Amino acid sequence: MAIITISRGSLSGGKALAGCLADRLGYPILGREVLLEAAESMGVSEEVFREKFEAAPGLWARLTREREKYTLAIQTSLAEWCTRGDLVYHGLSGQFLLKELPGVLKVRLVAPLDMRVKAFMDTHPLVSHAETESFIRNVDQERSRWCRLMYGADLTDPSHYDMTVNLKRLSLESACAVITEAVAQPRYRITAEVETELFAFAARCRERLSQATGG
Amino acid sequence: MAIISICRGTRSGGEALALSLAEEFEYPILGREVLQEAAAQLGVPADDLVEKMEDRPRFFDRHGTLRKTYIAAVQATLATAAADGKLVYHGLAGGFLLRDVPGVLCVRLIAPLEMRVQTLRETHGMDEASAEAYIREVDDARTRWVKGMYGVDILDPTNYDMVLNLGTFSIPEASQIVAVAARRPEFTITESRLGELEDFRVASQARLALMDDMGTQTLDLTARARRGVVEIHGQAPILNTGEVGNRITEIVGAIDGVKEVVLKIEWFDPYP
Repeated sequence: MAIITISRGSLSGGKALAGCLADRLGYPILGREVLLEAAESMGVSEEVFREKFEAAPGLWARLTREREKYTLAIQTSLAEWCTRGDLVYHGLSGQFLLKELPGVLKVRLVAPLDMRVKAFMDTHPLVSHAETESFIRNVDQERSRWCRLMYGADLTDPSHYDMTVNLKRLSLESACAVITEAVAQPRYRITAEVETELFAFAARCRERLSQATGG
Repeated sequence: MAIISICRGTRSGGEALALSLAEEFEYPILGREVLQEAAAQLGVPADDLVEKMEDRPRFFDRHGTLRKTYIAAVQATLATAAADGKLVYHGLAGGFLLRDVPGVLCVRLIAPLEMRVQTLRETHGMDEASAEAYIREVDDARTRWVKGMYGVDILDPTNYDMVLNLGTFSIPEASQIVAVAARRPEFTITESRLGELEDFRVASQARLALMDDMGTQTLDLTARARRGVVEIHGQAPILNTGEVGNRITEIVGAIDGVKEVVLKIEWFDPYP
């Protein structure tokens, strides 16, 4: 039993890698569905939640800390999943949302731009190479900005992760094998002590969310 | 068989990881000794080679030719050490010196500054401020050097197959993870890759020989090898065409493993 977070740029193969790991390890997999759960817990639609949470915060949002409750809602949903003791999470900001928890394997996945462009064009044949490249660059920039404003951190800095894996030459299966070896290390084992910490973390998250929403 | 190249900041545990992997695979290990071996091959003092080679390229580069010769010597030494497909390298700019070679696993190690400072304090008895200043200075110099030489950012994780954080992993753990990667098919040295490694050795030796010869070192020449046939590309002045061409053929032809030298040089008139 262990918890793995995968951070990646869009179209970098993060979902496929998470799927491979989940199959190999027999763990549940969680991605952007966590947004839906968080939206439900806040009593808003998924669209509204996405708009509030995913767009880079403007000055007003930063001043009022309005966004904080949406972040807490996601963190709380994710923390509840973590209490099960095994999880492969490939949604937004796992490395930051679970920063307080011990024994979480934080992985960053990178892939060459060409590979990402091809992944998009395979499913969107009418979009040109230049448009796809521009789209990916824009999404990357937006995410980097979002991350800087939300966490004051550079998303691509490898020091935020335990390991960074590059799909330029490593196949998905090889990346999966390497991460499986990493997570097999005793430091990622969910011991009774860690399990207690997982539940305590979930309780802290619920408490913070409750305070932020005035519940 | 595999070739593992470890790139790291100073005091980031690269040598310890290299030793652990070399033991696991029973492969030879090569670190900064590559500089001594390269210096010996050129017959120059190792200190001079290190100083000139590590000096970063400048716009007006008075050591330009010398540095290119030294780098060619290091690359040739490394290519020779890697030729049988078994090597753990943790010396200077490994990932970059070997980047044209297929199947080389490039790993970067990172470690929190505090951990590196602590290592330096323990091994060299330095105070915290001096240790931190030293690490930052060496890191900056390396970053500038790689940028100047190869035009890439040494810190950019996309330049490596894998980056491992020693703030998390112990050396034995990192070693186990890298070993799994090195055994994957992408990094297995097959018969065909052995042939490519031999081509790389021959081409590296040819570049060094041309850089180390007074008659050819100022020419802008590159070498490509395939199964003993070496093609020399580049530009050279048309003066004494036959003489220069013969000299190039003689120098390259003397290298072990070369069967044929093919000149694909663009001769130009320096006084049109």
